[in-house]
Amino acid sequence: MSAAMAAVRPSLAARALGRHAFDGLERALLTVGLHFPALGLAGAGVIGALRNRLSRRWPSPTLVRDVLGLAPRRAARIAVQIGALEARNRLYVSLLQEQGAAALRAVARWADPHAAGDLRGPAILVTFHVGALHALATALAAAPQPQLLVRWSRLYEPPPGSSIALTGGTLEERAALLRRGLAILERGGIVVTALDGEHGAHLESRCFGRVLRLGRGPFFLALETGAPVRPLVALWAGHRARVELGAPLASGSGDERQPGLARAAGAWLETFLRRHPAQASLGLLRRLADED
Amino acid sequence: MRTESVASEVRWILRRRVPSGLDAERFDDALRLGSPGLGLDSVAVVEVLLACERRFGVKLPIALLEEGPLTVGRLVQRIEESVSDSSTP
Repeated sequence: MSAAMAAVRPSLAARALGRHAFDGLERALLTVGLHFPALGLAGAGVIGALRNRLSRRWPSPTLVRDVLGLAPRRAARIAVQIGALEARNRLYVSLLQEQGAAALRAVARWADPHAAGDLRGPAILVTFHVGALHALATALAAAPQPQLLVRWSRLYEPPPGSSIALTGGTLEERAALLRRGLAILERGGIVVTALDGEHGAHLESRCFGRVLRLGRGPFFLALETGAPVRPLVALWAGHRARVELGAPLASGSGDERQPGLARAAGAWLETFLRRHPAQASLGLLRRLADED
Repeated sequence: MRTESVASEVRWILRRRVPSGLDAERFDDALRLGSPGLGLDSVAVVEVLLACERRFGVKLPIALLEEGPLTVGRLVQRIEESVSDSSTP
């Protein structure tokens, strides 16, 4: 065995041991979270932060620094906070799968208590891979129906009046999903979809000077129906998620309307992340850095 | 019954959305709207369906998209059926 190999092996073993230990802790927190969601999510934040601090990975301070343009020390702090966010999101997904969205009402609330009730269709609510993305499932139960929730996976049973449509699939399946979106909007309903997915028809925007690929479908639906496109995000604040609804994005005119909406969406996301850098997700950072 | 006007008008609608300079008259019935085929994306496919609905005054069902790959011939056939249904007293 070479000296280099001998030096590397203990390091790899320690990493593997650490990974198993943290995975075990997160599994234990699921048991806690099933009974006490807030306590479980608070614990997940602590574990996730510690995991990031020790590993300096997922995300690395370098990735945060490079993408968000932060000074090294601040980037290191933000990376730890994103580590906490990722652990909370992992637990939230598990809780959603186990208990459904309604059981998590206490931890996901609208910043403006009247916002959900005041929301009127037709509207297209676009999300990004930031903050407590999955907490939106809980918060949207309080918004008017009908809703079409476009997701990558089912995860949970939607409330009455809502339906979940899976994105991805064949060209025809994606086109059928757009037709369903049109039908919901024509009935005065709401379509909710992540904008920064990478599959299917897309437009390019910019965020922090980097290419941001955005789904073209939501912009098409908006221009076809006249429905506004409004950003919807949930921010982690400790162990609770605070849901915020943005103002309608401005479009350009003529042939520039879809690219105009895409530019406005990229600018909105950049402004949001400058205000709340710790709400960036690992996936979004990687996509912006083109590491995927 | 096959009407050449529906077939040629559908091809004209498709031609306006196909990125490359393909000859619309050579759009074979078996040609898919997606890839491999005309290379349209999902938004462009829906734009084509809406343009056909407006042109022929029919409503095309979502099932058209759920029955497998959408080809030029199947689109033309479905529009002809819808036109025929809507003109039946």
